[in-house]
Amino acid sequence: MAVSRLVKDIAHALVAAAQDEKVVAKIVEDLKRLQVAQTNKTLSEALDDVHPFTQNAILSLQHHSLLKDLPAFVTAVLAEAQSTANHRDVRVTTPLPLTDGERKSIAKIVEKKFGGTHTLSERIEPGIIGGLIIDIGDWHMDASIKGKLTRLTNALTA
Amino acid sequence: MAAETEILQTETTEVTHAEPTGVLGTLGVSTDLLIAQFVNFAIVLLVLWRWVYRPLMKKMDQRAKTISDGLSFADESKIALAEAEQARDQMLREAKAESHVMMEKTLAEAEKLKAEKLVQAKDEIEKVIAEAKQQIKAERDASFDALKGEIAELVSLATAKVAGAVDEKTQRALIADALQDIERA
Repeated sequence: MAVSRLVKDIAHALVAAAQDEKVVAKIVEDLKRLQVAQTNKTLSEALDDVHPFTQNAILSLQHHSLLKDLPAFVTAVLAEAQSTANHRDVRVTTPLPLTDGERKSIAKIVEKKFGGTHTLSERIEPGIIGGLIIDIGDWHMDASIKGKLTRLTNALTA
Repeated sequence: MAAETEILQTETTEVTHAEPTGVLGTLGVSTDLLIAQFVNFAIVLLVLWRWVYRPLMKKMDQRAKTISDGLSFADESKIALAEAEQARDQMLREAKAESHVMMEKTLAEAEKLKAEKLVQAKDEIEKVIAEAKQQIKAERDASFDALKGEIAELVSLATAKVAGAVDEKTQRALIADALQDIERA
């Protein structure tokens, strides 16, 4: 599906404003929540808790009857945030929910390796047995027990 | 016999009774007797010269010649000995020089041979080591090929076992380890 020029322009404007106010991570997080809320039909309720910049962007989309393009808008905002604000979407997969200390450690590592800002997305996957997997764009780091065992098995059977 | 004796006595008496004359006679010297003594002396001298002196001189000359020859021979022998010694020394020097050259040549050849043998030995050692390594690698690969299938199976079994046995504390420790691994990567 082709993303309209207007959606891209709104995404660009939103990221530029958020970068000035240093709230890129916040609006990315907001948009992810809104994307989930749209799926769950709770978008209107979710709008109350988001950053004013995010609200304005959503209102602009509504004004131009582009709310149906919200997933594409979120994707465009993420791409814009990464290219212009060095913001990264960090997806972490663990066998159980992360603690605050673990989140801080992950944030510290990501900032050290990539700099800029980031948004953390967590996914629970008991199948990885232990450890965790981090995906940041094309960068993939599998430090799970399952991943290690898989690599070991592949090495042994190669 | 008696008659002859008588005659001789008579002659002796006559001689004894001859009267000396002249100066010699004055001195009591009988001329005849003197002559006879001269003759006797001459005879004795002749006999001595002919049968004593000459043979003796001849013998002495021969002895002198023998001695002279001996001395000459001794001198010649000394010269010959000196020359022989000189020749021997020269030969010894030449032999030493030649042996020295031969020794150096032999040593050089020995060194060259040693170096060649050393290179050969090293090559052979390298070859043996390479073959041993290859053999070890082949054996290891064969053993590893045989084992890795079993290990993979064991890994799968261990995975299944571990998946159901990890408590939360262990999970947190594993996450902490994983974060350290990522930080180091």
